[in-house]
Amino acid sequence: MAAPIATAATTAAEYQSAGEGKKNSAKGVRPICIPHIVVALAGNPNSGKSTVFNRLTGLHQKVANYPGVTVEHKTGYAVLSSGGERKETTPARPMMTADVFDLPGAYSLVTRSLDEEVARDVLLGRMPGAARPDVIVVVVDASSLTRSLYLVTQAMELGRPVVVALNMIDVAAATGIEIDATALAGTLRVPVVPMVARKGKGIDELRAAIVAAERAPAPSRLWSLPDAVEREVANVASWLHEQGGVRDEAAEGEAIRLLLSPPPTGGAFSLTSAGENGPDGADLDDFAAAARADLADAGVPLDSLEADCRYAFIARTVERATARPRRYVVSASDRIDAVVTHRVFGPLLFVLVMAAMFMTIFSFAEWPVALITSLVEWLAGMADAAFMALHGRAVAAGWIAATDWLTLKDLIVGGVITDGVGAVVVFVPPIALLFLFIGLLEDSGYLARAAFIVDRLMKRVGLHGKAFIPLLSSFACAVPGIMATRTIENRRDRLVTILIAPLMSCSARLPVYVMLIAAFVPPALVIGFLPLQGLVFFSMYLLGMAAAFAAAWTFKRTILKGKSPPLILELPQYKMPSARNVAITVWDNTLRFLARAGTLIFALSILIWFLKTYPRVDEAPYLAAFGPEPAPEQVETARQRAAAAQLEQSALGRIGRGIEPLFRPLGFDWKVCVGVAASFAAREVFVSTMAQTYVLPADVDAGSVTLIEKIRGHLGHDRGAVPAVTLMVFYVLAMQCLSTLAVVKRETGSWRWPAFMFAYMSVLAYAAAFAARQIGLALTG
Amino acid sequence: MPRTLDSLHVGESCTVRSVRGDPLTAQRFREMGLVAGASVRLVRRAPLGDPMELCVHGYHLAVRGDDARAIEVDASNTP
Ligand SMILES: Nc1nc2c(ncn2[C@@H]2O[C@H](COP(=O)(O)OP(=O)(O)OP(=O)(O)O)[C@@H](O)[C@H]2O)c(=O)[nH]1
Ligand SMILES: [Mg+2]
Repeated sequence: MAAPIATAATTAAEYQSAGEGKKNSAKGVRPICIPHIVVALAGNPNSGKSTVFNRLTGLHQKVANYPGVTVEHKTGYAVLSSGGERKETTPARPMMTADVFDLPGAYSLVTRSLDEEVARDVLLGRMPGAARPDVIVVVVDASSLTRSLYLVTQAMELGRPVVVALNMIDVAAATGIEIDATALAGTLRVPVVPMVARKGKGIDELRAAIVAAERAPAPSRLWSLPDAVEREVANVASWLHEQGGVRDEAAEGEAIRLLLSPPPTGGAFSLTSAGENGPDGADLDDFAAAARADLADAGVPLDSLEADCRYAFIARTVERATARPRRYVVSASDRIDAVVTHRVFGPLLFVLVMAAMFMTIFSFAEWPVALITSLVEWLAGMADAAFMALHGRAVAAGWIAATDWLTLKDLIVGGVITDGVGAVVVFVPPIALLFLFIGLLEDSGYLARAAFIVDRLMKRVGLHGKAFIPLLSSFACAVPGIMATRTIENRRDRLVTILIAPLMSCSARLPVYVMLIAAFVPPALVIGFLPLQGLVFFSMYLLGMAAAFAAAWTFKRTILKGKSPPLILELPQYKMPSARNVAITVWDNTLRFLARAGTLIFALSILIWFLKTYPRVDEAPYLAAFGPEPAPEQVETARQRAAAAQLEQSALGRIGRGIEPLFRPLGFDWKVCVGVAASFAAREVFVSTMAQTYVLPADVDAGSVTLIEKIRGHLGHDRGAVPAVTLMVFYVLAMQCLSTLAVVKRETGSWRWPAFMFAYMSVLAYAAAFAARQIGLALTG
Repeated sequence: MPRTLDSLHVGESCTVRSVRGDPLTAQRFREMGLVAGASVRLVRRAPLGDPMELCVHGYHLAVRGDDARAIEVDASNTP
């Protein structure tokens, strides 16, 4: 998500000129010396568009082995031809650069879901802020050539030069399919570039093909309809051209869609007719409806005609260009699926994979966490020493008063290094591990199988298996999860999925769970080998999932009733996860976590430090209580009492006690309340708030108090794990994330849904935490 | 009564005759290659019996039995 998007600054002017005079496009009128074009990467989902995009632009857009990874269009800058002076041996090559669009996948330009609409709109030049592409590259999965060519035939009717990137020829070859690219290009009459994008094979050729295609004429339609229909198409096309100002080369494709696609709801037919000179929608619909009625009267099977005719042409094309094995080859992918989707082993494996994933994250997180903890301590020690070393000099030089110097030291060493950012950064290892697992699952092809396996259960609650994919992404973060719901065809189902996505435990909750479990759940083994702590950790994820299912069930029966559209889900072949893709997933997300720690959490730590430090409480009266000459232990005790009073009377203490009554039924004391409140900015801050608000009890040696001991101190030992479990249940279910609310607002277009989401999750979290506490207290007596 | 796609046995192949039902859905099924004359094989059913995994034009597609009922098929002569 966070990939920087390099957009050539010089292109802004061109965008404008392209917008004004669409007709005199790329050729001839460019005022800029270096030709700069706009290239769109279209194609079926999972065909490798983002992989090609990354190779062309050097960016790292997310790549994974399931359909529907990319749901927004992304722009990148590419040098297509670096140019070359004319030498005696080589002719001059013009330099050429491009804005490249990575598009969401689409099976057809007659769209069914939001992500497909994005792709269509960019291709047609209707997307605000995106220029109409000069060249369309259709990325084709060679292992399912027939289906992929459907979109190719449609793209060839958009009035722009087309280049076919015949990707994944390695996958095709593994199943015994050989494709003759030259023959394919000969039939389609557009350039075809065989590629293995994942290995970078064919990228140079693709660049060259795009440069060459830029000046090529728009391809012509090669398949034909029955004569009567052709006449009607010509009619509508000329109407579009004359009345509607649709460009000649694109009018025919438009006419075919108008006549032969089932009328979309809302009559939004005018596909290519963007802009001020587009035809009037109502006129157009009347005209098309009349033509459709005429054809229907003549007995033309309007609905099936287009697909039948396109596929008839495609079948001939594929026949001519491919050699396939005589007999059906059982691919490795099939053999894997025989186990993974097996009646018994399939679901078992599914549960095992999930359990193993979360238990491993918990167990193996310990030693790297310990390592980072000592690193943080070392850093704090260094900072402390530096402050002490400079103390004398700074004070002697009169820069700063001695007490202020110590206060500053406390801010930096305590507020920021050990208890603030440091308390959060120690969770980098488990978070990186979580993303390693997610990356492996995503890039292997397992995600689509998981959707296949759980579809039946999802049907119970009224959703699709497809909705499961965004939910699994939400284990990382609800924001991309909510974006991924764009692949869900139906608005109501999409809303339901958006509403439940934040119930899946995201990576920001992970530190809270790890910390509370480590502090309160004994490291015992269940049935001899299952670590209890890991099990409790996994249960938190299960609880979130169960709540999500229950909420979906409720919404589908009340506010968002309605039938789901059919499930149509492609199951891609398994692929060996690419180290590069997985590494990018881990790296990007870990970096994002660190960036949050360095900015948001850093700022919040400082804020909390100030709130807990001011107004100041004087130590003197506490010392005076022990008489004029207190013993060293007495000094220590007095200090600790003063610190406790300081915290009580600080701004933070007052705020906390203000909220406390609200959470009293859940048994949260005011410090926990402050942590909960601070979590609205970022859940991880709970950990650092706990660290910062800890006051040493009188009998504890100040030496090294670990985070875990501090947590124990906060929640008390007397009631066992009950307070910790109550708190975790609250965190599983509560809506404490502003970015999620913001993205829901953006995706649904109003504040209504985010407000509803916040309300229902808050009530749910409160009620469930209350119930958990009551049950816990009853059980523990 | 012509057979419909949902009645296929695992491993069985058939040829699509026509796609009925909701026009938009039918259109998408056709766009995905389930056009008249296309050969389809039922690869397996999901562990809970539904959905079903089809192989059509060499790729794998999951659809629910309920929706597959809208697709009329002829038994293939080749096993
Ligand atoms: N074996 C092989 N795998 C490839 C090739 N190109 C891409 N892949 C893999 O195919 C999967 C899909 O690639 P993406 O680039 O995410 O595909 P996409 O078209 O952007 O997919 P969506 O965004 O979901 O539409 C990833 O696992 C890639 O690593 C290739 O040439 N050979
Ligand atoms: Mg993509």
